[in-house]
Amino acid sequence: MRRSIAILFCFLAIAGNAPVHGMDIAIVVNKDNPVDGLTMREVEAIFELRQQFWKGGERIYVILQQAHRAEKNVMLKKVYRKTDEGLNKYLLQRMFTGEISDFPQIESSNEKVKQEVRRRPNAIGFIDAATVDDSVKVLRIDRSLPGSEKYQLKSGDPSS
Amino acid sequence: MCKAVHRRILRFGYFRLSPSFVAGVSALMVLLFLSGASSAADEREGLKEEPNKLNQENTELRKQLESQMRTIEDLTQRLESLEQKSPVTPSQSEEASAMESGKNSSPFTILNHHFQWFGDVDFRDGGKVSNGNNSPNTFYLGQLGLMIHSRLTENVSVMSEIVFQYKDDESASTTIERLQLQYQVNDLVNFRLGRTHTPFGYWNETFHHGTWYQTTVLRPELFRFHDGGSVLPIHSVGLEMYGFQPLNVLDIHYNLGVANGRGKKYTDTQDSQDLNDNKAVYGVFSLAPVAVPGLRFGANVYEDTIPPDPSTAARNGNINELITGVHLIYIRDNLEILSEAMWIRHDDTVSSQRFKTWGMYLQAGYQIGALKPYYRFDRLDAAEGDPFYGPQVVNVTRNALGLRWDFINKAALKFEFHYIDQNNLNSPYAFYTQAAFTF
Repeated sequence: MRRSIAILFCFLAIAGNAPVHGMDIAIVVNKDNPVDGLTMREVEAIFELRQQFWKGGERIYVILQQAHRAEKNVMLKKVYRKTDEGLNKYLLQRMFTGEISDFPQIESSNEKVKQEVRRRPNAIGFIDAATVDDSVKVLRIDRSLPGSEKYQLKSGDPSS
Repeated sequence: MCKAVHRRILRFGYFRLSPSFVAGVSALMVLLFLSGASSAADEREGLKEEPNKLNQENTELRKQLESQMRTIEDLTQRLESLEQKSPVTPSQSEEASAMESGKNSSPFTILNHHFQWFGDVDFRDGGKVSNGNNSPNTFYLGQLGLMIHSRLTENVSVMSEIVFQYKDDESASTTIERLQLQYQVNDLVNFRLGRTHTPFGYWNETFHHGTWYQTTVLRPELFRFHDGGSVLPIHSVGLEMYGFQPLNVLDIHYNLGVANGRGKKYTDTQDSQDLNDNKAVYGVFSLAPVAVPGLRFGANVYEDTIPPDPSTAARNGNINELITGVHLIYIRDNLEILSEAMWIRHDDTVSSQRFKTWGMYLQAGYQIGALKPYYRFDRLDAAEGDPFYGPQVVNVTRNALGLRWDFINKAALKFEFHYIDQNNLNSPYAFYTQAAFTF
């Protein structure tokens, strides 16, 4: 009985003091990709399809998530700085300016992004950091990994 | 008797206890001890069994957990399956982008071919002179453009833009506005061969015939298309190298090209035959500093030799053309600021006269939800007596105040009020409305 009460008190103490964090977005690549980290600027350039090649010369295969998913919303806010409609217009414009020859691939879940990243050596995608497993490589962004204080790709609000 | 009784009473401290009482108490203590020993033995036995019970409970919990995990995986798979199979409702359809309906594609994608139509229907009151007369207010069709971008291999693609339109004389026309074969080596080195929009800085390379892309109804005076007259060579047929290179403190964008250049008239692109051996050469360099995200600025240069035009009296010799320009763009979040200025110098090799034309625009807009109010100042100062432009190119100063309303994802309404300073206009005021869309 006393042990249960002690556990309950510990739980309440931890829960009361723990900071409430939103979602951290992990930028993931294939495990064979030699890249370990990117700057936030490079993340923007890659996901906006301005940078289309890895430094080794291979074409970057960008995987996005469907509209209205929480992961996509964080990326729209932190990386694209656009609404989903704004992003679509931007990509259409780049397509018909001749700057890109394909649209990014769209996936419906974190699991599917991981599957595609596993399957494609040159792929890059984003997933909820809570769903990361050892099937993909998580990149450091500005030298920080998801979960750290300085990590930039996080939602301030869990619902965002 | 008394002595005997007294002996039977033992001294115990200052209590005096009878031997029978002591015996009884001793027996009771032995019983209690035995009872205690028995209880401890039972407890030890129970503790020995405790790990076994915990193991059993642990095994059961593991089984329950595995079962629940299987259920979750099953539900996840079924959910994903349902997400894939579920039909898109009309509201979702509106929200969905061109790319959202399938993998790596748009609704307009067949294999590696991306198709997109662009069109606009307009209304104008004022602001136009035809054959020396001010045009009455009118509805009019803009351009219907079909853009196709096909990826042929990992690095090679073809981009084309075909435009259908009615001209001022009501004749219909179909033109190949862009047809370019592209080869991407990497981010820094790319090639484009064919008919392109000549890069002069920002506008001409960014906005094409689909007016849905651009914020405003009209292109700036500097970049008006040839049918409406353009002081710049909007299109070029030739070879271009272009690229992008991020550095530590800034990103570099560049374009370098060689093309047929201008024809006899300022509206000619020379699509099928260059009239001289001299080729136009051009270059654009843009810098985007890391410290100010969204800012881009740069300069451009274009040099050409314009062939003579025997049908015009003052055009007996070549004209050396030099175009220089600067641009400063800031696009970040909801704010859009575009500005460009160009100086066009024509040296007539026969008369040895020099003609200088210049133009600029400054446009600012701010997106508030589906609405975007904007303003543009537009100025074109044409050189007097330039034999290449002739009397068609006139001085214009235009102030445009507008509102763009993206009422759905693929269509926008634009309303513009213009105050125009142009010699041959009856009224300086004009009103433009445009419905621009893509499908």
